Amino acid sequence: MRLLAALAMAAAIQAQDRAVSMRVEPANRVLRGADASQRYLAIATMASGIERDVTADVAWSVSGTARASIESGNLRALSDGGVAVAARWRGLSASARARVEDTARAREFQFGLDIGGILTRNGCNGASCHGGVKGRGGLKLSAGALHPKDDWEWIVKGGEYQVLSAEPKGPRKPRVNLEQPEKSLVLEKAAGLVAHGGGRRFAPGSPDHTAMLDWIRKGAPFGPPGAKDDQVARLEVFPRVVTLEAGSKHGLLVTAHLEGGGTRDFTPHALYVSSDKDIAGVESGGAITAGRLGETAILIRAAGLAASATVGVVGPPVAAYPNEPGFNFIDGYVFDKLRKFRVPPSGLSGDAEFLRRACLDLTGMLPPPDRVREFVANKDPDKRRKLIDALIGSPELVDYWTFRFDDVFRLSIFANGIQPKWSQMYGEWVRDAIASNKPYDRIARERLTAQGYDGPTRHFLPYDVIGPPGETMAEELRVFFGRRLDCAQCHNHPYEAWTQDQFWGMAAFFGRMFKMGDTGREYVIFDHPLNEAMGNGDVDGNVKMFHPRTKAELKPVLLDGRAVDAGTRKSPRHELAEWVVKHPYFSEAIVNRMWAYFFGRGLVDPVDDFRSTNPPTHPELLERLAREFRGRGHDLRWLMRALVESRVYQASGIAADANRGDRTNYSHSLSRPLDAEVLLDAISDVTGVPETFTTAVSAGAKVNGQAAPGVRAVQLREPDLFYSRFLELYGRPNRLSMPERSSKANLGQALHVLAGTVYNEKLEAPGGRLQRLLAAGKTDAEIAEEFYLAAFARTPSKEELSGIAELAAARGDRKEALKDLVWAVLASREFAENH
Amino acid sequence: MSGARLAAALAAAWTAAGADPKIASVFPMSGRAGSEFDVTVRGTGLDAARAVMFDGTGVVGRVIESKPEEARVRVTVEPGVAYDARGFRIVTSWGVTNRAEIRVTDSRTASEDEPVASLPALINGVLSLPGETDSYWIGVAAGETIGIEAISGLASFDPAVSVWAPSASWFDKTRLERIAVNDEPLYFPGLDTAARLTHRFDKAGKYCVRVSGFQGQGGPGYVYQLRIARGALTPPKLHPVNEPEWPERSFVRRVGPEWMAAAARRGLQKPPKAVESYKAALEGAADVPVIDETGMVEGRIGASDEAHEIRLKIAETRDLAIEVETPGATLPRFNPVVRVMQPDGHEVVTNVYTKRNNNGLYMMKMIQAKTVVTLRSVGEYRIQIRDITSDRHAPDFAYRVLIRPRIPHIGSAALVEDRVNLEPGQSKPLTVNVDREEGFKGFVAISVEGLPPGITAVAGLENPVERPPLPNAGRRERYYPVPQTATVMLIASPDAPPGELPSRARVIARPVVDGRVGEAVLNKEVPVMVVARRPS
Repeated sequence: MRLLAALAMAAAIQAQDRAVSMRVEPANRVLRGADASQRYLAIATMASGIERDVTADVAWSVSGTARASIESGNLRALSDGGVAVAARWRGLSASARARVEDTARAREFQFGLDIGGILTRNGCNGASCHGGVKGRGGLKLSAGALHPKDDWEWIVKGGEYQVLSAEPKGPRKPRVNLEQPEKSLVLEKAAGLVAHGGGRRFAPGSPDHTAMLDWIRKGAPFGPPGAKDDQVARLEVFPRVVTLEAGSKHGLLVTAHLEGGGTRDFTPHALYVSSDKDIAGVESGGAITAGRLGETAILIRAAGLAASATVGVVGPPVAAYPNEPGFNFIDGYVFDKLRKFRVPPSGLSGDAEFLRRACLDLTGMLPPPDRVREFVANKDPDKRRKLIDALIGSPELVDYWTFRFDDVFRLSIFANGIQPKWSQMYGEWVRDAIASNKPYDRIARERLTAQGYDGPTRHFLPYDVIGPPGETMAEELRVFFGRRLDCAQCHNHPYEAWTQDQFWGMAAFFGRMFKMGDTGREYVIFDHPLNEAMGNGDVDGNVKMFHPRTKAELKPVLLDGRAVDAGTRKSPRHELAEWVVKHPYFSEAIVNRMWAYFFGRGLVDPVDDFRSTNPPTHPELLERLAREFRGRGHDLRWLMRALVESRVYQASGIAADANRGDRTNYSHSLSRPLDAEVLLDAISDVTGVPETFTTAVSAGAKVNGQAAPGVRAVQLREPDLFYSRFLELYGRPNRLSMPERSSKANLGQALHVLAGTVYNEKLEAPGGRLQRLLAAGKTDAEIAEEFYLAAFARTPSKEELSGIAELAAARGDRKEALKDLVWAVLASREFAENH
Repeated sequence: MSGARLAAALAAAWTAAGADPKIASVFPMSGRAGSEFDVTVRGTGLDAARAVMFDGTGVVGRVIESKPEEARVRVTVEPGVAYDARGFRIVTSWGVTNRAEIRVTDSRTASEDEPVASLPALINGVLSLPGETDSYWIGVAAGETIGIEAISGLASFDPAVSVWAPSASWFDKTRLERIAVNDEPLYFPGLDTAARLTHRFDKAGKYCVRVSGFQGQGGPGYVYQLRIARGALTPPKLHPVNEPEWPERSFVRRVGPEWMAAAARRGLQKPPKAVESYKAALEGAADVPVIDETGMVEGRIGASDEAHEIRLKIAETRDLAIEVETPGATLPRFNPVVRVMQPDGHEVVTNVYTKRNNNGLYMMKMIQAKTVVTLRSVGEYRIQIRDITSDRHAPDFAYRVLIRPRIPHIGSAALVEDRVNLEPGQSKPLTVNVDREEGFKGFVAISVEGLPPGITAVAGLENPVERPPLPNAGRRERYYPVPQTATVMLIASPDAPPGELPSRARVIARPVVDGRVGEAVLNKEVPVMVVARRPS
């Protein structure tokens, strides 16, 4: 009943929400060719600000009926000339312009477009079907008809695909029957006339069935090789963000941008998949239907490419939606989306809350109690900006971000040649880059092109060997592009447009890398010259790479298909590096990574998994941040400042009823667990007892080396040098592969809190904060306040103070009661999280 | 177990093992000329130490106190003694120790507990515990350059120096900020690990110089000498330290006429004709010089991807040696590749030894300082010289490539043992390793002179080590000499009298070709001592 009532209320609110304007999309378009068509949407803007798709309700008309006809928003070209498309609805009207060209030229049949389109929108070439790694049932199709020539051959010539060979397995048996076209296996399977694991994809006599049958009757041609200008370069989706009220619908427009600059309406040819059907369903043709409240993505595939649209199903309008002022350009993007999704932002964080958060995020340290008191009491309206200045200029920032990039760049003994001296050399290079605020593009260039014996070369020596070129390339792209190409190593990527050829073309940039030396202690990194044996003449000293499937010799080819010929001796990695740092992916990847450090999740999350099926929550913000970052010389400290100075970052962590469910749109600050090293340092700071790090891995073992007294966990460089039970338990990665920190709590942590050395021995240690306060004659309340300030950057509430008093009274032994208090502080979530 | 009982147990274990007494470290590491000072010598088997033997004159020492792992020695340095490292050994009832060093300096040395009053300062310190870091505050003027050097006094101790400044930390105003660090100028096999740092200070003020151990090393023997002085340190050449007396196959030996003449003497060969010097052209140049049979090519790689080229003309089949010298930067900064090619570019030989590793998977390539080759085809060859990387270059990327006829000779000749302590009736070997270079076919005569009474030297044969032939070893003979080991057994007679001090015996090796005896290729002093039989 409640649900019905809510729906009725929503319907009533919607009914009251009157339209104030209307527009037609696309506003301007060229239709080229005899059978060209274009789908139009009529979008009404309501008084509440929300946009509704009223395409089905409007009266459509076209100005030049001889040149084009329109039905239900679908414009069809008839003859050359300009037309105006008009829509009328509830007293509102809107129009768009279109130009019809080349109607005398009938479009030639193209297998990729015509048959590939059928295969795509019926899901035949999806990753879970014949577009999977090995295909299905012996038939392999390229994902989304990315490689139409291959698809045509597998269907028309037949044969079974093999992953590690370009040759088909067994004899080739065509899947079309030119003698009896309707008996073609490809048709009978799709129509469910014979057993088919994928079931019926279309009915006999349906338009798609008829089109395929006609094609076979005509001899199953591939068609002329499409002109390059007609190749689809990218897909564009309108709208990128769709806001739907409960029960409403909205259409999508998919436009293919062609290499030659033209466009083509792909709306009816695309495959649409909802990431969460409970939130939004999607029909063929792109019509989205709202489900429950929430946010999801619609993935669109066509012509081997993919795109996505974000769909938010929103609740009723929020009364008195707060009009929060933005602090910098970031806020506009976030607040606009929040407003659109009817999620109000939380208020500004309190000073203490902001102080703790900024200190932890910028430096990995808790603010000392005196600094908390001072900051909170400070009446300077500019104090937050001044604090940010102080933190960004602090030596603690260098330590902390060196630690962060040690993670990303995998500083460890085993990953850097199994030579502690080498990991130290590499580590000094990382530290120098952070301390000198080296532009990030320079950091990338130095790392990607490193030759000789310098620090960054050592990262090319995992386990004392030059890493396999494919793995090296995949890691560099994951670091600098935030993209995972690994899947394409063995086969075309099943979900993305990355092909095996692209993978190995990129891997070839690292294929000539070699280490000069024999003993394992003197390796010099260089790129082996092409076609030069550089040896003794008795063994082939050449260094070449071959495609694992085609066995062809590999040449370096960028992801955009541009082959790079660096010559005989020059390192092709120089050209790769130049291309990488200028590519939009480069800046997007690092601003997203940095965003995640400050906000707990990336605009694309995980941060190194950019893909069309994992779209950013705020694409325009991501683009803008990347553009600004590039424009400011790839300055990491500028980026940190921009993030921390935003109103979004400074939002309170206290959620309101209307934004409590939001985990992706930054309406309020989200709590996130402290990383293992930061948590251990925080415990040491609060207790006033530094941790001792030794090279011994078990109690009683001989200590060969020990970090200097006072060295913090974030200052430890190689995780494989100074063992720490605590750090391993709390998720310190060993950096033997791309580190992914796990923030999930585990039983080991719970036991460690109860009985572990870190949580308990520090309470007893002489000279600690508790012992000092006791020796100074402080009262229980004063001691509690000091620990609260040190741990939480706030003073205890009255309720907490009275609880502490009760604890002390119940325990009897004052010192033991205070130790219990400190233990409770350290064991609390409030302490172990940044919020 | 108490510390004293543990030490006694360790000493007993050492005695039972019959190991030679050994010095591990000396503290302080230096003393001023014209002064008398005490040093603590740490090691093993130092109980019953009774004498100190210094090299040369002007420095003497006597044992004041000795324990199994430590001896105190009073050192007297006469005025006017040269400022240098001076070797010494300690003589104990169980024999003579290895050679250790004390540095004679011109300035007063301070202890680590003293404040640094003025520069230059020479400080002897010890990192007595793991993780220990020693700090020294210095005052500098704006724009001043300071040189800092920390030398280790223990073989396994690798010191690092760093400079710290008061920081602008918002968290802790007393926190220091690291502004410069050096563990060693360059970590590479053959280079020492002393820390050397030159830093220019932009601002005047007090700065902290810290000495620490790599990976937090520390212990009683982790001694160092720290020198802080105004001005820049002389930049280290980054050439290997402890080069042998005959640095065959080293990139930093001086190749040329004298080198060829010396090699000829070590093989009793006629001195080869002098070679002409040439300068190679840039790759692709129209006019490329031609070497007539032999010659010396000199040049430097001054630009990215720069390669030099020269032609070599031979009138008959020639057995050649190609030697590469790097007088400036050397491996791993400058890695010179020399390729000899036919006129069509087909590679004939390079100075890159290529093999496959033992499981046949990975190809290994090593740049070599000498390549021996026979060029059979008469006519012209192209020689290319460049750095192995495509982008490294510097003004000190200089090379000399000597192309000369082969000179069969004895290359490296080394005595393995540093000292020999023999109990009556006991026998120990003296081991001499020699390398036969470029097809040297003669004999090697070895003699031992100056043995103490009761010890005789006889020829010995080692049990041959059976090594399977290396798989995939490539043409090793082009790049490596033929090594050989000779053993001389020293036998103490059962009634050999224990000596108070060791005898300074001398091991001499000479080439013998066609019945002619050449000059010594090895002439090395080694202390030999008859010691009392240890209680079982």
